[in-house]
Amino acid sequence: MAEEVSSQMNSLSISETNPSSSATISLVSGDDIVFKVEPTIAKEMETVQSFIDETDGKITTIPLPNISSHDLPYVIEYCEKSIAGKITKEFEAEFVKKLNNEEVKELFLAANYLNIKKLLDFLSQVIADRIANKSVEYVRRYFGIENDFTPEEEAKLREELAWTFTGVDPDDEDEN
Amino acid sequence: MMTLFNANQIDRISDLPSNVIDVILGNLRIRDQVRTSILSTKWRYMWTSAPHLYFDDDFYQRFLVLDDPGAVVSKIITDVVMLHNGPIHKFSICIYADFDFKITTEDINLWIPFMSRDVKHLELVTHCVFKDPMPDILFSCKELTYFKCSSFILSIPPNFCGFEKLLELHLVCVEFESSALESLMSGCPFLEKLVIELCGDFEYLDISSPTLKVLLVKLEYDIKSICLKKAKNLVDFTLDANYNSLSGLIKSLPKIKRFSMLRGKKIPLADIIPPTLLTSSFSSLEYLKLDEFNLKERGELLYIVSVLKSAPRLIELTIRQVNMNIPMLLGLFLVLVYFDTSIFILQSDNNVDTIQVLDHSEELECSSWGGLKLQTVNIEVEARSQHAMSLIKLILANSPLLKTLTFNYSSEKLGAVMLFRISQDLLLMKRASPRAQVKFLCSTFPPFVW
Repeated sequence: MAEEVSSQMNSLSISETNPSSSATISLVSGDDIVFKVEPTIAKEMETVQSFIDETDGKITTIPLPNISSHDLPYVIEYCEKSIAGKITKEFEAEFVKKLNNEEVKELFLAANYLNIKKLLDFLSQVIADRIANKSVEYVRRYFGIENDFTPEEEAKLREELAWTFTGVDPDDEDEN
Repeated sequence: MMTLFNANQIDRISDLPSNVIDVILGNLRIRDQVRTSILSTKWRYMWTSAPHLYFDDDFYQRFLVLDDPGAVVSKIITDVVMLHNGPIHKFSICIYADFDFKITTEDINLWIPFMSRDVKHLELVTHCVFKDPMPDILFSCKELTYFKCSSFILSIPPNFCGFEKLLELHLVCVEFESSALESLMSGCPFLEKLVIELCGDFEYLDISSPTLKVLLVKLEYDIKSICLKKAKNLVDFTLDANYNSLSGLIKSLPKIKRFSMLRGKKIPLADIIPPTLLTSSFSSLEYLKLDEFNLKERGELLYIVSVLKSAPRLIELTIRQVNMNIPMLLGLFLVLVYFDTSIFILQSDNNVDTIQVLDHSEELECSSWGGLKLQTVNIEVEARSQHAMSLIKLILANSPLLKTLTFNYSSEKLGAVMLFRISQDLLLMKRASPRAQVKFLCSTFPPFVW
């Protein structure tokens, strides 16, 4: 797993052991991979920054158990661009092209957990675009939602909200 | 620890706090938004707290097959507004698909009370030409920062306390009762952008808002004058006028940075912007765009030269000889494409003299100039324009910072020899900027660019 990640992300220094560098911040993913980032990157992540602030900067290794080593590099990439003021429509279009539906969702959750407002807003738009004009069944599968309506309840609701159904895309598309 | 990441089938989105889900819901169009209530019991009322509600053509078009789509749509909007439970920050109705669709006073009196305390962004736009007086209840939306409305008669209720937070106001097809616009403006102490589009029933436009930065005026009817002197912080002014009495229209202008004249009707520029205004108002100008500019007249060429002298900070210049009437362009396109290939062959040698090599007597005196600051220049002409070539020569010779000059040449006839001669002339022109790129584009119909 670690090797796979290093080959993907050669621009970032990655080590499996806990580093003792003082200038950089170490973010530890849920699967124990350490990502060293500049303190400015950490500032973009409100959750991380408040953790650093609370410990007066003494602790620079921050565990992020909810974020995998697969997703964290994307988050870091976005934050780097954001600091450099280089978030353009083109960059966002390229960025999102690389992501499948599952990754978009994971990153959305990560952005929420790390409290990165810009990334959260951007990914909300991406999710909205991906479920736009899709059937109820498609959106349930997309989010992994279990339908807990009784068939009667659902039928009644569908009848009440019939105006929201005309011309919905057929369900034959690949979900990812 | 790894188990968390194999959670593909676990629904972690539904358990997010509602304010996070609201961000997703806020980006969905109304049908998609409301349809989420069928996902599961947890989602049943989730959409009702989404702070944005958009009703657009995509929504409206589903009902066009009905006998009276307007009534059905109004009823649905009413139901949605009534079911909604929480602050509505953005409420937008933009329906152009049906000329008969009208937002009635009754509708507004029914909907607005549900949002008047919270709504910041409000759009009520249709194509309808029948106008009712603007309902008083709209003036109670005190939190508005953005307001766009169409097809009303603007009259200000006596108890209007102002839109204290309004930054941007768009009025489309609105008629003004006497001094209504002035009263409205004086109630918007922080207004930065004003768009007045196709509005009628006024003769004078006298804007005195000191906070206004951007103004766009699109006129369909004759008015007598536009006076902007008191809008002292105005930086960007766009005038789009589709009638003939443009002459003398602009009475005063503050020092602006951007000026765009769309559909200039080929009226001499000196009549639109008198030379006296040039020196006082263009000294900080950075961006200038002139559509339907008559580059065939030498007087116009000389006027542009005096504009360049009065606007020492100009960075970007766009001059179009053609008009941007899109339906007409499409028509032309169809005709010309059809004839294009045969004409190209037949005419290839006949047009050598259409654009002559510059005659030295026509050359503009430019050696005594200081450097222009121009970085980007776009010039679009129809056939036969020696003056365009003179202007390009002057700009190239005097703009040490120039990055790109695009010369877009469109004609019904394109001859290979003629094109070669133009290219040759362009190549020979002295360039003050070592990195200037000159792009020469040609087409057989007016270029289709915005």
